[in-house]
Formats: sequence, C-alpha cells, structure tokens
Amino acid sequence: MRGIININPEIRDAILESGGDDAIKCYSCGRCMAACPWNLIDDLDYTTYRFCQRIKLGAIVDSEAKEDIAADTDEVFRCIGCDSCRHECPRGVNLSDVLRAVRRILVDYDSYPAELKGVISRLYSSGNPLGESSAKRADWAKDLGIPHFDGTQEFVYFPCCLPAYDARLKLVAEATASLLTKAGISFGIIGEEEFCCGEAVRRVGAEKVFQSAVNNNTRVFQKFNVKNVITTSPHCFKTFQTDYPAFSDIQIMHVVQVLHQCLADGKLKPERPFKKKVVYHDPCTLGRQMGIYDQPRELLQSIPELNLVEVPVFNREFSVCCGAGAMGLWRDWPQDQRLVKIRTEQIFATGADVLCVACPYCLQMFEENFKSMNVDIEVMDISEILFSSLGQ
Amino acid sequence: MAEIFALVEHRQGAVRDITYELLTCGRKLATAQNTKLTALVFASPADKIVESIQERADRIIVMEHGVFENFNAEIYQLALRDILEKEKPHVTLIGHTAFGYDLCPALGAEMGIPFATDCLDIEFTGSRLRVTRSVYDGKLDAHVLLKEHTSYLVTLRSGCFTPEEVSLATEVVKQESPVTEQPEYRKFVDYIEAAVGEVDITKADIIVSVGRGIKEQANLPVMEEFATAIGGVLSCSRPVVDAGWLPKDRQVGSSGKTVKPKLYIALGISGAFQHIVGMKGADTIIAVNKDPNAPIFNEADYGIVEDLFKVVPVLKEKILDAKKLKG
Repeated sequence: MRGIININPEIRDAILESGGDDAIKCYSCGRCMAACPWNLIDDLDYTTYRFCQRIKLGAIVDSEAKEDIAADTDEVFRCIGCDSCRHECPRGVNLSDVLRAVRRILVDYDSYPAELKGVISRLYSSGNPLGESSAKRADWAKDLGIPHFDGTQEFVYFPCCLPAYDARLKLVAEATASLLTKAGISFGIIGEEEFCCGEAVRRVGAEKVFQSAVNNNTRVFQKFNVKNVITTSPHCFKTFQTDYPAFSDIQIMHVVQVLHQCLADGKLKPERPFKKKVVYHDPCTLGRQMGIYDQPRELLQSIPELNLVEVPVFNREFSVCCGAGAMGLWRDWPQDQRLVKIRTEQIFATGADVLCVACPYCLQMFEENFKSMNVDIEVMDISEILFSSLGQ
Repeated sequence: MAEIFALVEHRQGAVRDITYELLTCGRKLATAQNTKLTALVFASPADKIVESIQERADRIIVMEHGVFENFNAEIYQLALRDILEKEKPHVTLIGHTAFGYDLCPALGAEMGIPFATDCLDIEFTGSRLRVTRSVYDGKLDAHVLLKEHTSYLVTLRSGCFTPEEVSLATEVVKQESPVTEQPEYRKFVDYIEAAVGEVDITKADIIVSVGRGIKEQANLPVMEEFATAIGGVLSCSRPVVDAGWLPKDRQVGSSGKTVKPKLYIALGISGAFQHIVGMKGADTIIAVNKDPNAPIFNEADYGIVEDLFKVVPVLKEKILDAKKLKG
C-alpha cells in the first residue's frame, strides 16, 4: 500500500520531551522484535521496531478516529517492560522508556486500559494498588516481634505492597523476616507510613502518581534517617536505586544479595535437606535489569540435596517474562495470549517439582496460572525455600 | 416565595425511580424554604404518569403532546425554558441521568442561570444554594456555594434520597406545549433492550460466585439453581471465564466487575488479590473452600472449610428456611 504520512512535529516533540529520546537512536534493524516475548505467542505480531520510526514521524496515536486510537493504545500498553529488547538492541535503545513517554501523554488524555484506572486511583488514594488501609500495612509482622524502624537498627526491611497485604504473599515477608532475624541482621519496618514504590505506575505512564509515591517515601525515609534498605521485590529494588533521586546515598539491597552475604559470612547455614527438583525463574527486573543471576543460584545450591535445574536456553538473560511487569499483573489478555502460559510450558518441560522465584509478582502470576492450567508444580519464593532448610 | 420544581423522568410510559427521589429532595427544600413543590410532567399520554406521582407534590404542571412520548433533549429544553421563564422557580431539580445530563447543561447555558451537576445533597445557606458533590473518586465530599441568583438548576445523583410516601393535596394544571414538532436533525429512533439472559451482577443484592473449585462446567447448573433459589445471581472468578464456562460479564475482579452486594457467597474461590479488590466492599462475605489457607478467608465474615458440594445443599436449605421465617 502506498501512502503519504504527514510528519506531526507536535506529537514527535511531546514524546521526545517526555523521555522518549532514545527513539532517535533506533535504525529499525528488528532485533527487538525477535527478542520480544510477545512474539513467542502464535499468531501475534508485536512489531516493536516500528514504534521508534513512528515516533520520529509523530505518527503514533495521531489519528482522530476512536478505533485507531484504541488499537494504537492497546499496542503501546502491551509492552510489560521486560527489557529483552534492550538487551538485544545494538544501539542500546530503551524501548520500555520510549513507550513510557508515549504512555505519559496518553494517561494525561485518559486514554489507557480501563482495568488500570482503578489500580492507579487506589494507589494514589491509599498508597497501595489493592486499596487497603495503610493502618494495616504492618499487620503481617504483628506476631513476629519485628520492631518499628527508629534509627537504632541497621536496615529497613521494605516488603512491597503485595507481601504486606496478600494472604499468600505475606508468607514470603514472614519467611524473609525470619531469615533476617536468624542471621542476626538488625532491621525494622516502617509499616503504616510506607507507600508503594510506584515502579509499575511509572511504567504505565502515570508519572504524577509516581511522583506522589516518591515524595511520600522520600519524606518518610528522611524522617527516620534511613541508610540501608532490604527489599523483597526486585521492582522496589530497582526503582529506589534508579528513579528516586533523594535515595542516592541510601544503600538499597535486594534480599538475595543480603542472604547471599549472610551465607558467605556463615550467618545462615542451610542444613535440612530439600529433596526436590527446583527450577529457578530469573525475574526480568532482578536479572536482565539489575544483573543478579548467580547469587540466587548459589543460595539454592547451598541447600543439601536440592536438585537445581534450568529452563533450557531461556534462562538468565534470556528468561521469559511472567507478564506481570508494567501492571501486566492487572491486565487480562485472552488466555492463549498470556506470557505466563508460554513460560509455564517451558517450566513444566523441566520436570521440576518446585518453581523458585525471587519476585512477588512472578510468584502470584505463576501460582494462579498453574492452578488454571492444572500444573502440579509448587511455587516458592527463594526465602521460603531457604527458611525451610535451616536447622531448628 | 418562589417554588421548587422537579422534572419528572419517564420512559416507555413508566415513571423512573429518580423522579421519586427528586420529589423527596424537592419537598425537603420546599419545607425548609416554606414554599411549594411543583412537578413538571411532559408526556404523552400523561394520565398514568400524573397518577403515579399524585400526592407527592403540591402542584403538577402537565404538558401533554405527542412530541413528549419519548425523551428528546431538544424538545425538553424548549418546553422547560418556556415554563421556567413564566413561573420563575427558585430551584429546578433534574435527575443526573443520561436524560438529565443531555438536557441540563444546554438549558443552563441558554438561560444563563447557575447550574450544578451530580449533586448528592442540596440546601440553602441564607439566600445562597449550597450543593454537595463527590470529589477524588468518592473519597471526599465538597460543599459548593452557587453564586446568588433568583433561579438555580441542579442535577441530583440517583440513590441519594430515599423516596418517601406523602399525601399532599395536589393541584393539576394543564399547559399547552410550546413545541409541536420534532426537529429534523434529532429524532427518537428506537429503544434497544438488553439481550435476554444478560445479568448485571453489579446491581444484585445477593451474589453467588464460583471459582475453579467447582471443578467442571457440568456443576454450573447446580450453582445457578442455588443462586436463583436464594434470590441471587451467579458470578465467578477469572479461571471460570478462562475455561469458557461463564461469559466475561460475570467476572468479578480488577479486570472484571466491582460488586458491592449485601451478601457475597464465594464458592471454591481461593481469593487472588485481583479477585478480592472486586468484591471486598460486599456487606457480608461467606466463603466456602476446602483449603483452610485460602486467602479468601481473610476477607470473609463467615468461612466454611469443607467441600463446597456438601455445603451448598445445606446452605440453600438454611437460607430458604430463614427467608420463610422472615417473610
């Protein structure tokens, strides 16, 4: 088809100014499309390499027809920010950042997926995506005797919203806190005054809501003079490091780093055998984005009789996203178009008894999907496995 | 003292519920202002509609003409302006419905009178009208003072006033319609009824919701029967929709619908947080699940750890017994 595109400099400039300037680097080689997990789904063509070209022409979400805008919006919000494309890109284009810039504009015009609106407004009004009361944020720790952080402890443990409230994921926060206690780490929690880190809302373009999260957490962390933070979620871990300017002098650690150090120092001694075949799933944010691949594996290998296996090919930097990033957790794609289904098939093929994850999003996505697909594999967080292997 | 007016909303010959709420609100205002309440009926035929609101207003002004058979904002705007200019009421109340927000803004702009939409409550403070409006996604109520004027136009959110039965001596006054023809550019075409069998789960007082715990599609009729028997409707969690057992419009949760029934019975639903956010506003939650650790029990007011197929028949019997005793 021949056609003439009129360059729309207003749209182009707005996107570039909103943080999409990486688009200029792209020369449309198409490697990103080959790397994008969406294209592992049959009959789905997610033509990622076209985004940057269209942005340079200002020809993205530029139609005035409702159907065209809806179709474009759908595509813009499909990306879950796993960064597989960035890893492959010869020019280092950060496509998820480019799309975030487009989303910022769409969110300002209220053109974004309906199922995200409730999540964003709950986060804005209550400080967590579930709309739970902040007064209950420390409830998970009630029976564990964990102190409120008052500056006398070395670390703040930041469990992330989901482990703080969800009945299943609370077990992860409990296991982590118990491990830290056993290892003699001095830590407290902030609880009621914590706010969601906002990583996911930022990725979908709700920048103002993200900034309110930044302001809130910055104020609280400064009030308590926090110097060291341990997070359960790789998403909090990453965003505190990269997107919170005021946190530049705070040391942010993911829990696997801390546990790995405890193991090396002899503060944790896994003694009880874990006689199961375990496959480790690299969360995109912990692996590809933060480069942590070996520490979780070494932690698992330190457990007696644990048989660690890998997903062939699609492991470490080639790990396939569970689909939960950038609020994918709250999206509802048709069943045959879900990334978690692809990843489940890969995991099932390993014959593992247990899937080990190191991210609350991954845990919830897999656990729910395994039930749906009748897959009999237990999903455990690395802290849960490690805790079960400690001697009494 | 200038009167309070309320515009009667009707569809297919029947008065809409919002009308009774408008009349209750109007009577509250009229009593406080020591004035009278007038209902405006634009209809054809008008008899049945006038009869339905008889005794709820001091006066009913009726314009009966074929053009009013079905709602058309253009015609209503002309008729209403005609009456408002003649009668000069203090406040005119209109429902904040598709009907009201089609009509009201244009009328307010045309007449140049203060106008507030989607109000939860209305009162006078001195000579100025003060309305209550919901802001920040319902988190806060804002009081808004309208600038002082002889006449105000307000649309009222439905469900904010409970209709009250009153017996006023109603005077019925007939007036000629100033409009006698539908404009060419905007005509009533047709009513399209929602397809039969479609259920709006967000409107139900009692919801029976099923999850993957019901095991197979063959078990759905039993659940449906249970829901119907206790006066409820059937909804579900995502896996049931994924399996194709129920349509998407029955799905409760963040990517389905948010429901706030009086009673929510969760059968075989483990309670992923995406489901919980869609139903935690229910007044009473009963959960049945074999797994004592299912997160749904954290939200439930009553929990039963048992095979749902054993529980449902007993629960059905007990609820029916209780209903019999009550009614």
